[in-house]
Amino acid sequence: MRLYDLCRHVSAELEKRYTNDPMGLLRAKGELATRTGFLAGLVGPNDPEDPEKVRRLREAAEAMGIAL
Amino acid sequence: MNLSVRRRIGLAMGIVVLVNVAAGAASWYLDTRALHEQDRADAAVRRATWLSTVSNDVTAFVSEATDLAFGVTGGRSEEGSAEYGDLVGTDASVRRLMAQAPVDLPAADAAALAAKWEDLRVAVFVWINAEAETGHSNTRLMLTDTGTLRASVQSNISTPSALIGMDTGSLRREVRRQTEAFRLGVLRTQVDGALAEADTARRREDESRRWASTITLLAIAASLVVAVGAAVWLYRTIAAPLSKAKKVAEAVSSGDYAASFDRHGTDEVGALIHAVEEMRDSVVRRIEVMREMAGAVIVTAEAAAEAARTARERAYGQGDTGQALDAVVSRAETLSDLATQMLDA
Repeated sequence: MRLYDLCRHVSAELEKRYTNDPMGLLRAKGELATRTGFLAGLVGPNDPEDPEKVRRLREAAEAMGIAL
Repeated sequence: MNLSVRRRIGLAMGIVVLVNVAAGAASWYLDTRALHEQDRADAAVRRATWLSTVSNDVTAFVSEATDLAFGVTGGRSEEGSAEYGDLVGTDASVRRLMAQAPVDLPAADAAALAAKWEDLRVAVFVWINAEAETGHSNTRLMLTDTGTLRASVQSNISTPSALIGMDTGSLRREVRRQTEAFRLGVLRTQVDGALAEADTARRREDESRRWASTITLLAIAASLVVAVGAAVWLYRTIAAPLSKAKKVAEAVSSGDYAASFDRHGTDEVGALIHAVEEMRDSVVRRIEVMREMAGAVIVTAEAAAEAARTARERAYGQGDTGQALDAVVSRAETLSDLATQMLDA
């Protein structure tokens, strides 16, 4: 899966998990950013692929209990 | 219809102008035709009036000739008398009138009229001279070189073969026959023709004017319909989408990021709507990033606080505080990186 699609998938999972808890969603996204070292919202569909970011995102998602 | 706004406005204006120009051209043509028919009717009436004048003069000429013939027979005429002068004057008057025929009198009609008049005129002269001889008068009619008449003691009017040998009674009847043929035949036919032509021209003139009025009214109605249609069309394709774009922009500015458009076009309005949508998406994306960043700051700050608390507790207990302080530093560095990314975005 491409970095952009992974970001979208993880964000969607978090939004689903915190549907009625905006503050929890905010914290979860912040946690993801601090774990990966980049902001998922800034990844665009035309950005070049970055294997290192993909790896960090996968690790952070697994650590937060999101299945990929 | 997928047209640019400029072309759409141009098309609408063009249709309105085209309708007005077409109506104006049709109205101008019909007005011109009406004027032409009016001229034609006036000319026909003038012709009929002229023919009536000819008829009256010819009638007067024959009437004077008749009076003179009976007067001559009675022996009351003298050379140069008023009766002869009247007849000669009326003859000259008819000749002048015939020379002033209307220009639109058909050549065949003019020729027929002139021929009949000449036949009648000669018959009258022959009859008058015959009456003069019978009545022992010394006054006869002579033709001058220019074809006009004058009273004389001699007659140089040659008798047409058809009249040779006729006595005064037969000549009188012949004159009456030719007079009737002239007035009721040639003149009546031409007058009736002229009046019929005038009537037809007047009808056509009225018809043209009616059509011109109708077309003018239709043009006004058509212009109104086209203008209203164009206004509705321009409103639906330009003003309404622009109004919707304004509402969406206002909704976005007030925080409603779910606002969207129903339709997109490839014209300037569509491009504007697309730009507003992109602006909305960009704003949504940036807010999302800011939230993400805010979450990261919160999480990092909480972690830093937790680490600091742990370090503080260990410091109180004289323990090793290096690991906890490293975590504080790491989180702080991450926070700095994230803030930099957000600022660069």
